[in-house]
Amino acid sequence: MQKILLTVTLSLMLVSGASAQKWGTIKGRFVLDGDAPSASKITVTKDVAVCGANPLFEETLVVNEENKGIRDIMVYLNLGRNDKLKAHPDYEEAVKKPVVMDNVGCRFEPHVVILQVGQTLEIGNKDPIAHNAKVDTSSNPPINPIIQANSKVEQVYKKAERRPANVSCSIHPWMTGRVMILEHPYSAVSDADGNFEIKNLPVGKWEFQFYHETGYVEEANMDGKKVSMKRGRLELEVKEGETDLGELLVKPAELK
Amino acid sequence: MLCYLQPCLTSLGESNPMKRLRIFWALLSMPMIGLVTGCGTESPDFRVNNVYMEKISRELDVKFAGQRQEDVYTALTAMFGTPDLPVVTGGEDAGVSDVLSVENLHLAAGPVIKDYEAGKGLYRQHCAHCHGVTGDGYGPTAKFLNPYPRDFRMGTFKFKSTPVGYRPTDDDLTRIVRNGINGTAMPSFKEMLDSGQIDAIVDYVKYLALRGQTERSLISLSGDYGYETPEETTETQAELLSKEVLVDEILGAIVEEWTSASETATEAEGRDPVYDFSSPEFDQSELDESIARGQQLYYGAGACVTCHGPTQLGDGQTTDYDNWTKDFFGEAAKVADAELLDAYLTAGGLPPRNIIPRNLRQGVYRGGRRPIDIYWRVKNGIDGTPMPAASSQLTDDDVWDIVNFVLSVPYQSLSQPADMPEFVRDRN
Ligand code: HEC
Ligand code: HEC
Repeated sequence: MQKILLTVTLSLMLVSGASAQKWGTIKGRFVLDGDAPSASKITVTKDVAVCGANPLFEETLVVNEENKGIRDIMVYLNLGRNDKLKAHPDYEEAVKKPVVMDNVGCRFEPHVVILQVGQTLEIGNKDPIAHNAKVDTSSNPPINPIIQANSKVEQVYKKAERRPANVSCSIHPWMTGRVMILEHPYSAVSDADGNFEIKNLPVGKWEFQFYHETGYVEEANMDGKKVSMKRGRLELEVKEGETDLGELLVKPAELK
Repeated sequence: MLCYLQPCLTSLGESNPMKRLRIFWALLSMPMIGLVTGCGTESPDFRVNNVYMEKISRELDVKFAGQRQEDVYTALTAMFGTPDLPVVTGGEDAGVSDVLSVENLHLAAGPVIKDYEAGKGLYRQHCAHCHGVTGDGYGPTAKFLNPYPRDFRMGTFKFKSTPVGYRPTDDDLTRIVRNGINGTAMPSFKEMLDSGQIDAIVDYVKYLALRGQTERSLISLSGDYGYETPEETTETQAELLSKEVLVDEILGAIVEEWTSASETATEAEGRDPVYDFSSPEFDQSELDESIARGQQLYYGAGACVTCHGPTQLGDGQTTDYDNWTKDFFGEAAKVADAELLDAYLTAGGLPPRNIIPRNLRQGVYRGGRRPIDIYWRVKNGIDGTPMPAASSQLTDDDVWDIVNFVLSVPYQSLSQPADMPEFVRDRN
């Protein structure tokens, strides 16, 4: 009898806990406010038979020619030293899945990844030649293993990084990427159309960090208003349901 | 300013840790202390890490002049003292006594006083003209040497028993100081210094690394804080210059890396005696077979050929840079950016030089010529350089085969192409 009572109270507590917390999603689209730069082609100097099979381009700044969407801008929750956060239960499963970055066609795909502390970074090699993955993290020990053809290496990170770390391949010097490690799951990387979405944030005011390979994004035009984001940070109100920030217009000078 | 700071720092020599910490935090809260610039004394100061500040200020669009820089260096001086008077304030809390002994620091630190205090000032006497008083690899002779002397401030060392990303063990550092680094300017000190002196100097190298790593951490962290208004400045200082951040968070994490170094050392049983000339079990045909397997791996799954070249001359990949250069530039290709290069040189960086894979035909091994040394290099890679760790799919025996092959290369003639397999890409 006692046991049953206990279970009942416990499940009641769980339910009330869950219903007290409201969740919201934030989304938007980064758009270049100017002419899209023309992609510069890489001269392949190594393993030409494999790496030269398809044209390779510099990926520091990738802008969609048709809709000017900016790829690879990281957006993530920036927790203050004393902020407490309890993530949505949906994320409990997510952390168990590895985040994959592949060597394919002598480039990193995707170019930018974000993972959580405790999550596995899986660096795969789909090419018929060897690569190495030099991941120069600061808070975590960096790694630099050879990855044989059609194999992979796995790495679990114990600490959050302060800023994104460089990923490179010493055998093919043009190959670069970025990896960020956070202590929470609330992050997104803008896709080929510039879209990003972070789901199930706890409702309330949170500070977000906007980072592009060229540095923090410190200014954007939202809803016709110029918004300045000191050190790439912006406080946003997460409302229950969906908050669509619409288009965030970023000037080319911000991405230099 | 140094004169102003000096008495405080002397009192940091205070043995009661609580009292010392209190003095330290009092020191930090003094708004008046400026940068340590010396004042009439001949004592050299630690050199400011301008290159790293330049990097962070570019990356984050902040300026490292004024209060921002002052706060970083006030904290750093309070934590680590000066070249004449090294301390590690807050070290007890961070567990620094597991890494080094402050007594040893005093043996190694300070000016060279030959006559009446023999055995003091060891670092400045034997190491500073190459490695710099700061351990920044920027001593007066540095720019004439190739490779450049090691800059200790990233805590990165090349020739060690631990994997990439981990700190060297005491044994690793002691071995380097005793034996020197063959084929470079780094001399051997085993004739000149006794083992107690070498211990003291090794502790001092670790001290310079801890200080340099802390400096970088502080600069990097500071970049994320604001100094735009007086209120913002006060807020920043209250957080950034707190014991929680400086000792618990920054120093604690760095010390932890060093205390755990020996646990991360790569265990190896040593080379099978059948491969060892001097062993009664030596077997030439076993060795030959191992060398042949190693050669296959060199061209195949080991991927050594991509950098060390088809004839082991080290000519496979010659356009890359080491981590000390790439730390600023991010990527090798950016070194070609004239504006960036100029900023780097102006900030005091040594002119970038390509890192060249070793010519394995010469048989000169910087990290030592024992089979176990080569094993560590191949298994773990060479930290701070492009040389990667062997694929995790290679077994220990595979790695020993590669070691045997590497050690045989200087004795093979280049005109033996019959032995050279076709350029096989990979085994699978
Ligand atoms: C004549 C110049 C010179 C002097 C004097 C010198 N070094 Fe070096 N040292 C070097 C150079 C050059 C290297 C880098 C070699 C390389 O990168 O392969 C080096 C590298 C090192 C390393 C790094 C080893 C590693 O695994 O990365 C340590 C530690 C070191 N020196 C300590 C000392 C100490 C301690 C002293 C004084 C007792 C000293 N050195 C004196 C030139 C010097
Ligand atoms: C991505 C390029 C790269 C690859 C791949 C590579 N190396 Fe190296 N290797 C280097 C560089 C660069 C150095 C010089 C590092 C230094 O001392 O600064 C080096 C140094 C060495 C040394 C000299 C160590 C010493 O003590 O002087 C040996 C031996 C060596 N490599 C063997 C190998 C073997 C065997 C493989 C394959 C399993 C391999 N390397 C794969 C780049 C590479």
